[in-house]
Amino acid sequence: MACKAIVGDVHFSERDELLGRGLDTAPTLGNPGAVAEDECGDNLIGDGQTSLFRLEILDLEGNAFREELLAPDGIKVLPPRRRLVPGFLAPAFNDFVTMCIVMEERNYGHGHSFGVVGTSLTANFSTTDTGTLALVHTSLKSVLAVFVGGLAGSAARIGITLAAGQIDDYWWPYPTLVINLVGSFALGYLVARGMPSLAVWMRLGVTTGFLGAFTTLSAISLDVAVPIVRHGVGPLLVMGSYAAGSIIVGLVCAIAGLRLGARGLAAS
Amino acid sequence: MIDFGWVLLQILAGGLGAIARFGVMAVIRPGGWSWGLFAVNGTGSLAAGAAVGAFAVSAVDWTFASLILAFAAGLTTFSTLTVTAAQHIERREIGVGAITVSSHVVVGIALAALGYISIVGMLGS
Repeated sequence: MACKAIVGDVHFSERDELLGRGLDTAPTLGNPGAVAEDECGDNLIGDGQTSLFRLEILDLEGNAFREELLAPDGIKVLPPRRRLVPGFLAPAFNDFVTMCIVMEERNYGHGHSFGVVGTSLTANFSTTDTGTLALVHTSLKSVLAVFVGGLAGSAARIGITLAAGQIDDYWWPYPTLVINLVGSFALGYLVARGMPSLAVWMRLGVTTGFLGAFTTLSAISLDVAVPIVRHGVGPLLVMGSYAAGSIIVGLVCAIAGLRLGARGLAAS
Repeated sequence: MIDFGWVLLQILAGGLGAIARFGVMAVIRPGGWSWGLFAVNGTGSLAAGAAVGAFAVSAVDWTFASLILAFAAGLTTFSTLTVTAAQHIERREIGVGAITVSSHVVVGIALAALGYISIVGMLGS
């Protein structure tokens, strides 16, 4: 019901009115103490007066990083039932939350209401709440989705590596390079495009599970470090260019994915 | 000839690595720096270097070493790193983006070398 991700612009300017995409109205809990369960299995507890809106803020990989229950009448943030991250860790996440919302409190002359203006790529996050609510979405379903996605991602990576056959001791490990470039592009695309039709746990399976396990940093570290340790400075140039190439072309692929994804989002 | 049992074990190890990454990144929430990602990428690189070092001095067989490598490959990730850095760059924080991605790679290489050298130093004689 209320457990929706916000990706893209959402906006509401009047009480109980939500416009935009990606956000549904939450259940109105008219009776004091009424409890409704959302699709994430969390309980929403009514106070008899407010309609509650659940905003779920996603991080880079689609993890629900922060969830809030917002009451439209002023900003009232109810304490979360599960609080896994201490508040002092939560506020400085400008560099971390990439699909986030920007909340602005607005006074329209008849009490406070507040607008939510979000973009899928924004550096700003400001809210009048103290930033002490940080929930980590680690349901069993999410863990299983990450596991299954991780199995598939590992299988794909191992399959490609085996198909490419034996590679030389110190020459460009091009299967790893191809895997990492494809994965960087795909994750960039999915992050910018969003996956609104998928539940959070499914997105986790695709991003954190599949693409996370498909791409790898340890293989780069190993492929560069071991030849240099074994053979001295001989492989330095070749392996250094491999590492630098992975970084530079990987960034280009990620940026291309982000831009194409954003274009796809705008076109849809 | 490919040993399919060995491949399946590798895939399983990769899946477990993905869960471990998910767990670490869920617990270590960053303040302005991707510490959770840094932790998994560093740990995985160190473990991979140590596994190859242990195999090089015949302390472990290749089956065991390759399982560690498969776990490390699932634990570490490159796509999250490049996309995080790319988003910095798209926000014109080019320095932050460049430092983010290159620090992970450079530290990863250094830790893999450290893992290899220290295991060979300890176990090789």
